[in-house]
Amino acid sequence: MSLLRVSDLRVRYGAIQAVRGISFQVEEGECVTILGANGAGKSSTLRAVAGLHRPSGGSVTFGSQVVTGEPAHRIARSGISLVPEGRQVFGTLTIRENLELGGYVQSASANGEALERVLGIFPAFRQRLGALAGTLSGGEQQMLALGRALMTRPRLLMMDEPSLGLAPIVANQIFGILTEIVGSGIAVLLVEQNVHRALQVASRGYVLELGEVVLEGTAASLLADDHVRLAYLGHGMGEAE
Amino acid sequence: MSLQELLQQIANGLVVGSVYGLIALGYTMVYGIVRLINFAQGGLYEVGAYLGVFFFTLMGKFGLQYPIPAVLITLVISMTLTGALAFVVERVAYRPLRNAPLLAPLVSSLAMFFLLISVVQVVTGAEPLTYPSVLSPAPLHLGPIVLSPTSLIIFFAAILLMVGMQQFVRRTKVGKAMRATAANREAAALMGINTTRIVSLTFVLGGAMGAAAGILYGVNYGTVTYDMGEFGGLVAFTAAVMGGIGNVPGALVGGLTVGVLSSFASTFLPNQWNEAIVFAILILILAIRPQGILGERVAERA
Amino acid sequence: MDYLSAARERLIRAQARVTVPPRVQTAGRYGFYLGALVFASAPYWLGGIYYPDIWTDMALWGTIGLGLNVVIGFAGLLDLGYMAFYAIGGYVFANAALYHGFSLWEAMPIGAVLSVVASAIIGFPTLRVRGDYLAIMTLGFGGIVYYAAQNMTSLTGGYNGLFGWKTQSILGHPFASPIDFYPLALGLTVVAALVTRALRGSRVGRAWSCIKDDEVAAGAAGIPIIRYKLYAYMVGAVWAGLAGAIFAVKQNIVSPETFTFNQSFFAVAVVIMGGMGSITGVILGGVLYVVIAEWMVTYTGTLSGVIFSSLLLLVVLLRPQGLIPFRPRPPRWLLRHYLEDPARGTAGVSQPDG
Repeated sequence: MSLLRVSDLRVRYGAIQAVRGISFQVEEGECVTILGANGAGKSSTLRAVAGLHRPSGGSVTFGSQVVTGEPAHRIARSGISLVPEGRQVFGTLTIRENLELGGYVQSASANGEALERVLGIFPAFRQRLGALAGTLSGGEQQMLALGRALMTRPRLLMMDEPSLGLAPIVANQIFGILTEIVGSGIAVLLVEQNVHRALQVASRGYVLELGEVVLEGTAASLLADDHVRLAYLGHGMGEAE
Repeated sequence: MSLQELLQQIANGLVVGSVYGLIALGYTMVYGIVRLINFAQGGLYEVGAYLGVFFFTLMGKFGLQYPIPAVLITLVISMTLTGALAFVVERVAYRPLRNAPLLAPLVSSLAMFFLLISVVQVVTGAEPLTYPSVLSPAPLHLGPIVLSPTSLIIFFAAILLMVGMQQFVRRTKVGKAMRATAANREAAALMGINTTRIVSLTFVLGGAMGAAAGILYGVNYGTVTYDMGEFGGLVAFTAAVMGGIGNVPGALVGGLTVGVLSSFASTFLPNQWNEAIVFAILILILAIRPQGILGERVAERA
Repeated sequence: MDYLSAARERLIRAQARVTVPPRVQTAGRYGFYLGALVFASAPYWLGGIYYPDIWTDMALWGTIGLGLNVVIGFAGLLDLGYMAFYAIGGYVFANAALYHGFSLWEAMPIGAVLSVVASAIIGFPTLRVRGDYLAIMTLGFGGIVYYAAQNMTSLTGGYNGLFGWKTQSILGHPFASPIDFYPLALGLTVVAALVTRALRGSRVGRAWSCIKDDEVAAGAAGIPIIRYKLYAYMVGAVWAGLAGAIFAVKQNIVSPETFTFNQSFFAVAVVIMGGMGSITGVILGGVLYVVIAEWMVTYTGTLSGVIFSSLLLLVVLLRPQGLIPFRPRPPRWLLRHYLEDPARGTAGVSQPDG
């Protein structure tokens, strides 16, 4: 049984239907990516799964629980962590407080252990635990947001555009860490504009266009697909040959 | 004005200002989280003061007249009840309008304020009520300053509550959740924080602080009137803005500043101008330095 | 969805279903004008003896509503000290009549001008702050005027107020009995209604409506926001200034208790209950206020505050478009949230990308 099973999910903002009945699964320990252009419905899908926006139809099942339409804080407690687009760290709070809030639902002792574990992944924060998160650079904020999401040992980590607005070298670091996370057995659902990077980390992918899944398959098959190459990788059949 | 008079005015101003600071705390905490001026805060302060009279009198009837326990019990009961009332205010007047334009929750909280003071007016028949004198009126001489023991206790009680609240917000888990919700509500929800409950809690705590302020005010001045919520609410709002709205320690700074300023105003000008002066200070502050003395965190929601 | 959202949704859906054929609409409009005429002339065919004061008060509160409607309803600025301008109109008349021998006719424009000047002085520094701060500042301004009226005894007579001017007259017709003021007050209401309606449809009115909908976008579109807000504030003050003078003459006294925060609160309630922006709505809001207030004062005393604040609360929560059903179209933000059918012309909402 899949870890996350989304079927016929629909999301609308007023009159606009952003997601038009999509279905996909994420297996335990697997990294899956959702590809698509701006406005294809990728973020809306993640937001609906995380409970930030109530879906207008369809169902979301996590493990054995149906979580469709549950409020975000309940979904977070059930083991899904979303690193939202644009980081969204708590700028007026310190790094330590940000991380501790990531483990808000667990006991103080568990939080202490989790903090050590996360600082093991992001050693640069150890010296600066008292610094305000708002003073960090974009890349550091992205790492903090990721660390914050890892505080609870989520069973499913969702990341929305982690490399957005970051220098390539910083984005590479983030993806390096992401690969480690996948290796540690946490399932990851990744939305990313950089299709190349995404398909390197992920084992499978779905392509969204105008709120519908138009293509799905293994990373390798998607990388080889003409449509994907033409539309998202910036080169056509001729160039590749 | 001699040095002694000056010190005396400062001392008087600090006592009044500490009470304003407590009310301001309610404004500032709610504003920090939902970006709304909760007009109802002035009404909660007044309701708290009247509940205080009621329970003091009640305890007197049951023969409980030892001043300090009586004050403490009254404080606890009235703060709890007013907190519950604040919970209702949030549920009725704020929550359904969460996604509405600013004018709607502003008007609904204004209506709530007016409802609260009107109910007090109807129930008490608009007569001022007298607080039982709690402590011996014998004044204390602190160097050149003369203060009643009551006002000293009030000052320290108010400061204690404010510092306690600040530590609560800074250090406890729930306090951190409150600050996280204020900083970014969506991200807070993603951490598993029930932000709806945090908003409720903030209203409740703000209301309880308002009630404490009302009782301390009543104990200090001996009477409460049905229009105290309007003036007290406005002055405390001035204090909240002065300290930088949304800034918890700022409420204390702002409250003390406004207290001392109005105390000076009343020495230099005939007493009846006191209110007008405070209003003028309010307008000046808002016009010149809306980010407050401490100049932090001015949130935008035009 | 909580209980209120559900109730609101039902209301909106019910309204959206109603489509009135044009012929019925025209008939309805003439019927309405006829009804308004019958109602407005009621004191005469009722013999002019039935609470003559009430009718003048209704007209005055209609005017107050119309003036404040420009500020709140057109420009979206919450003004909690509006009655300060009413006070200025009244005190200016009293001073002009008592000490300078001016007639009502001569004093009214002076009162209006001074109200406008006061509104510019207070508006200039305050209108650049955010909406909620503005509300507080106007509240403070109203407070200052109230306490000034109490304390500046040489100008205002203090607590006792000013009184004792000679009987005013228009075209040789003296204002002797309460009903004599009615045509004057009603005339002012009609003028206020026509002028503010014309303003609403004008360039200025469209600028106000843009500012009210989205201040940032209005600014980006090149509308000088502060200047237009100031216009709204000044235009609003005119009507309170004029009505205040008539009120003073009618009462034979000007005293501070007419200009308390409570009165300003009731003025806001009139505008919001009547339906922000709607001319007919706010006039009816004023009428409703006087009826309830008079009835309350007669029968239940202080209960009026409870009734009005509860009513206001209910209106904001359940009928943000006002009590009186003249504008069947609910505000856009409600449509956006509760009506999700594109066929009904829902407002465009930005969609997060991805």
